[in-house]
Parts: sequence; C-alpha cells; structure tokens
Amino acid sequence: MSVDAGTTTLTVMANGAAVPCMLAGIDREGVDPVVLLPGVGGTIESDFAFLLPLLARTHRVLAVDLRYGIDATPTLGALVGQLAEVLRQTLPGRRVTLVGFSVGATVAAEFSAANPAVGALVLVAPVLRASYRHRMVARLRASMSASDRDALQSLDRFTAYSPSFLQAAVPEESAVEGTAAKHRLFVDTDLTESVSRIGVPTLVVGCTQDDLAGVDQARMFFVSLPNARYAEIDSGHAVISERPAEVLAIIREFAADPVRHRPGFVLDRARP
Amino acid sequence: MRAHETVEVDTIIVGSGMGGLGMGIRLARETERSFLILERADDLGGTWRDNTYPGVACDIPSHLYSFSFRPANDWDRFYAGGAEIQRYLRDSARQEGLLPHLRFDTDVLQMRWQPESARWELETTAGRYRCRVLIVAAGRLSEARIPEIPGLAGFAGPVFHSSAWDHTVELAGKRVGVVGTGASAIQIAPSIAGTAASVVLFQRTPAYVVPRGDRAYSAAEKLYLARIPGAVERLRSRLFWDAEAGFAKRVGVPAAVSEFREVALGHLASQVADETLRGRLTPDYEIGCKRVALSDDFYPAISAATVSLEASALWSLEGATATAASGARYELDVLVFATGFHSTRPAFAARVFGRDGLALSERWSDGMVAHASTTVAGFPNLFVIDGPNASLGHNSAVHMIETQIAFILGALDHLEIQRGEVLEVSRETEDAYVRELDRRSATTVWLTGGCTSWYVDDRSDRLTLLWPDFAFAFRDEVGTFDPRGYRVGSRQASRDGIAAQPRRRTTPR
Repeated sequence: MSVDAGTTTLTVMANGAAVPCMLAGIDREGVDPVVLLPGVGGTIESDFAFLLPLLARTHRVLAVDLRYGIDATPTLGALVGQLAEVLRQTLPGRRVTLVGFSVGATVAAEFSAANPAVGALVLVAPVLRASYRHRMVARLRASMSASDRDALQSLDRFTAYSPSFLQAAVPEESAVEGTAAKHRLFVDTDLTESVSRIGVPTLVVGCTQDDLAGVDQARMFFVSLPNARYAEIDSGHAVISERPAEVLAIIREFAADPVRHRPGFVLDRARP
Repeated sequence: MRAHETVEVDTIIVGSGMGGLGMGIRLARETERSFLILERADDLGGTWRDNTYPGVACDIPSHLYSFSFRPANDWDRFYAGGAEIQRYLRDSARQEGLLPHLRFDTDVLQMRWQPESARWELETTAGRYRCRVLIVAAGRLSEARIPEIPGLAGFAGPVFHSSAWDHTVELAGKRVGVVGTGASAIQIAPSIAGTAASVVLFQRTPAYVVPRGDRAYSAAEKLYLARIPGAVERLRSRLFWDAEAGFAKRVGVPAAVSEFREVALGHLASQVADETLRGRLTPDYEIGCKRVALSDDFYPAISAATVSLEASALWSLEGATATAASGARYELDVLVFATGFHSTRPAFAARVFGRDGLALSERWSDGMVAHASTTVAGFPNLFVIDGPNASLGHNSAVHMIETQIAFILGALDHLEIQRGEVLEVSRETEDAYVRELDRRSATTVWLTGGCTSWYVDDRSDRLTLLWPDFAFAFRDEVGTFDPRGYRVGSRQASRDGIAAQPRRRTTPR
C-alpha cells in the first residue's frame, strides 16, 4: 500500500485560468489542511514530489500551481484571486495552513493579509521588497531567454543552488513553463505595506546561502511581521531540492502547533 | 569489595556501548548524581567491541555516527571501520572521566524493583547493587542468534558467530562456510574471499545491495574540518538531512521506492554478469523491508571462482559435511554464523522484575512496548535505551540514543523538581503511544514489503524494533520529557544511604 493512494490530480477553473492542483492525505478532525505554493522555478510536481506525500502522512495537503501567465505580466491581485477561488472550490469553508516557497511566498503573504481562511502561514525563502539585485537577475534572464537557452539554464541553477550543493552534485535540467512571468512577479515584490496586515501565526524560513532571494530578505520579513517565528537552513534558494527533509521537519512541527513558540522566537539551528 | 556488601548509588546504567557511554557522559557533565556503568564484558564499546570480524564497518557516515556533543574531525573514512569507532568510544570514556564509573566483568543477573524502599536491587556476577534510577542500555545487537542446526555440536572444525570472531583461527587454505547474507556477511565475504581456499555463503533470502561509495578523507579535508569554524557541524547536519530524505523510500512514496530499487538492481546487474547468479541474488520482496546493505565489493567477491553462493539455508552438519536445504553438500573446515541477533526479544528483559515481581519479558510477551520508547508501565524509575521502537532503518542510531538520553535527563529533572522518588508512566499513556506507533507503522515497507525481518516481532507481527517515522520526529516527540501521563510518588521508607544528593548543574541544550 502506498501512502499516496489518495493523491488526486485535478484542474480547477479559477477566474478564467485552469489551475493544476494535487490533493493528498487524510482529512483529520481538528487538523487544518496544508496548502503548498511552489517557487519561482518550479511546479507542484518538481517542487513537491517529496514534500506532498510525506506531509500527507500527517495532514490533508493541497498543492496549487497558480497560473502566472506566459507572456502577460501577472498581477499579485489576480493571483490572490485565483488562490481564493481554488480554495473556495477545493477546501470550502476550511481554515488552512498556507505554505509559500519563493515567489509562492509572495502570493501567500499577500493572500494572508486579506483572507481570514489562513490560520497559519509559512514563508520559505521569501522576498519582502525586491531590490536592484533581484531586477539585475531578471534582466539577465530576459536577455538570455531570447538568445541562449543553455546560458539561461546555467544562470538559473547558479542562482537556485548553494555553492556547497553545486560542489557535490549536478542538478537535473528543468524547463518550467511560465518561469519568466513568475520571475517578473518575484522581482516586483513589495510587501512592505502588507506585512502589518498579516496577523496570523507565521513561520519565516531563510536559507543562509540563498543567492536569489537573499537571506536578509527572510530576516527582514521575520522582524517586520508582528506574529512570526524564524528558522534558518544551510541551503541555497532551492531548499526544497537541497534539504527537503529539513523543510518537511520545520513545516510539520510548525503546522502541528503554530503558536508553540512565541512571536519573535528564533528556532535553534537543527543540530542533529 | 566483599561479595555480601551492597553498593548503593543514585543511578545505574547497564551496558557500556554507545547508549550507556552517552548517558554516562551527559550525567557526568551535567549532574552531580552518583552513577555506575555495569558491563558484563571486560571492555567498553558494545557492538564495536564485540564485532571485530574482517571488514567490520559502519553503514552510517562516520561524522554522523558519533556523539553530537563530542564531534570528531579526523575520521579516516566516510564510513568508519569498527576499530576506529571503538577507539572513538574508548577515547570518549577516558577523556570524559567515565573510567572510574565503569565496572567491567559485571554481568547483571537480576534487576528487581523494591516498592518499600523505592529502589532497584541488582544482583550481578560481581556483587549486589542498589540504585534509585535504572537505565538499561544493553543494546539491540548484543545477543547472538545461532540457528539450531542438526549436527552442529559434532562439527569437526571451529565454529563461531560473526560478533565473536575467533581471530586465532587461520583461514588461509581453509574451506569456510558463512551462514547468512545480511549486513555482517556482506562485509565478511569480500574480506575473507582472498584468504580462504573457498567460501560458501548460505543464503536464505537475498539482500538488496546498493553502492557504498566509501572513500578516505584526505589530509586537507580533515584540516578543513578541524580549522574552519562550524565545518564539522555543517557536514554532520548535511549527512543527517540527506539520510532523512531516505525515509521516503520506507513509506511507499512510489517514485522514491522504485528509484531505490532500480539503483540496487542496477548495481547487481553492473557487478554480476552471470544471469543465473544474478537471479539467485535478486530479492522477491520490496526494497527496504529488510535492512539494505551498502557494498561495492560483495557482488564482485561472490562472482569470484573461490566463492560459491548456496541459495538455501544450512540444513544440517555431519562431521565436516554441510548439507543445504537444497540438498547440496559442502566440505567445510570452518563455520561462521553471520545470522544476526535476538533483536526483538532482548535477553535482559527476563532479568528485570517490576511491580508485583512481573518480569519485563512477561510484560513484553507479545513484543516490546514502552511509552516514549523509553519507559514501561509497572516498571518505575526504569529507562530503556535502544529498546522498543527506538531504532532506524534509514538514519543514525546515535541520533536516537541522544534523543533518549535527553528524555531521561528531563525525566530525572522532573522527578527532582517535584521532589519525588518514584516516576512511573500509566498504562493508558503507554497504550496510546503504542497504538499511535502501530498506526504509523501500518504503511511502512517493514510491514507491507513482503519479507520477514529482525525489525518485526514474529509473535505479534508488530514492528517493535523500529521507530516508524522520520528521525527528526523522534526528536520532536521524545526529545523533551513530557510529564503528562506520569505519576510522581514519594518513598515511604526513610531516605538512607543515597551516595549523593542528585542535582542538575546545567540545563541540556
């Protein structure tokens, strides 16, 4: 018997977009479902192949591949609307623990600022307010995407993975549709106005070797939120590939009891 | 010491392997408790003292298979050999000042709870002991399992178990039979294949074998770990979380399981050209159900002309002739049992008597159970390290041991803060814990993989040896003592003769 016997793949029509989703795990009484939003270079399949089935051992889990658009510049408001509609159809009336990775964290944070369905929030490798540095990477990507796909792949891996990880491993190639649109949204991120409206218990996870978002962004996010705890992982931006089990551990512990630690608490670096 | 005198201390630890030593180190560092470590052998080290067979090595990376509170940066290899681990344990005991606490050649024959005095009374081969807190760290791979083979007593040559290797026996020119193809046999076979005239491996069930990729650490790497602040901790952390990701392969995440299986079968295909031999080495159960072996030299060794694989059990012996279940006969000079250990029925349990004189082995007649994998209802002030559901199939045993040590220190703190003498878990609390573990176990490969293994108790088909979840979950759930479900009592009898007033100096972690 496999653990994901209950995993279903579905497409939810939300505000005119066909949003691919995966749903897994048993719904237990009194346990909020966990909703996962993938990162800037990923999909639910690429980002959550590990996390989804293993989190589903303890939670009902919904992974959502929001449609950022291919050519058009997406707006944060449109994505928040998409997510609201997906949740309305798949988990009606439920309070959820919302987990966003990278650009998914941008959407998750903005969504939480306005939507009472979020009972707890996890932001992994988030950006609070994009800087010149983020826009520089976006410009590099834009110029390469037209002329040199190999160079683009190299740039993406260079910025996604930590030096330590790339020293030891060659990550698989990935060509993710809609990456450019996600990047555009990512480098336009400015949540400085929204943070004061995010009152739910939040866990911010920073990655110490994050060359894309930058670990300082996560730290700033943490101190800007009134009700946040903070954990750090020794990893690049692609923490879900580099340290999947550590991410799972942190999310599982937080989801089990979001207020176990007081606001402002910094979790001990895991010392196994 | 005269035999009739009873030695009284606050805490007694039974066993001086990784568990007992780790517990002792933390007690010595952080408390003022008087304690002794009783050891039946004449040296410390547990598994790594006993197992000295050719090729003995750990399957967990060396920087992870060591105490987090005593990191070593000079391990010679990615996977440490047994002797190097044994040296590490000896150094740890000496440098931490444990030697005065150790009592060797002291086999504990009986441990009996005395409700009137609220003390454990111990009868040993070296006299009597009395203590308030009893911590049994007698190991899970410490009682050799030797199958009953007709004619064994009359076998002409030397016979020994892999964990009691007879180094006086010269293997050169000898015909050696090795019974079993588990983790030990897979290390032994390649190591003796070049020496013995011939080796026959009696295989009941083939193991999955995956590439080991062992390597020596360079001098520069050791210096890096020694000189760069935090480098050892970072490496250890990476090794731990990499191993944790492997749990996906044990709970039926299909992509992870099939990838793991393909790695093992690909390893077999690349190393064994002979199709018939490959067929006999191909398991018919799911990968991970039995312990997965790591070896790059096992398959090449059994492809060698001097090594033969008998794909059935050893059935009987007559003189020097060994007959396999298949009917095949082999002439042997030396017989080695690499047949594992009594892991689900620990021998110490028959020597522990709790409330109403109940033996722990009776309490565990359906299989081992304990709340938080450490405390048993009806057995006050008893803590078991490496007992029920405290092992792993995918990560380091030391992580589990350290988690239990932290739990025990927390429990002792609690007892002290409550000014109590007796700590005992309720049966309901224990039952609830066991039910929850059974629920988690149900979807693991150990119960669904279609094999028999030493992880599962054959009396109840319950997974009693392994923790059925991630190692981090064990730390989350058991690493901090939770007093709910425990009863703290006081001693009726007067307080007499406790060697030192227990008091914690510092708080752990």
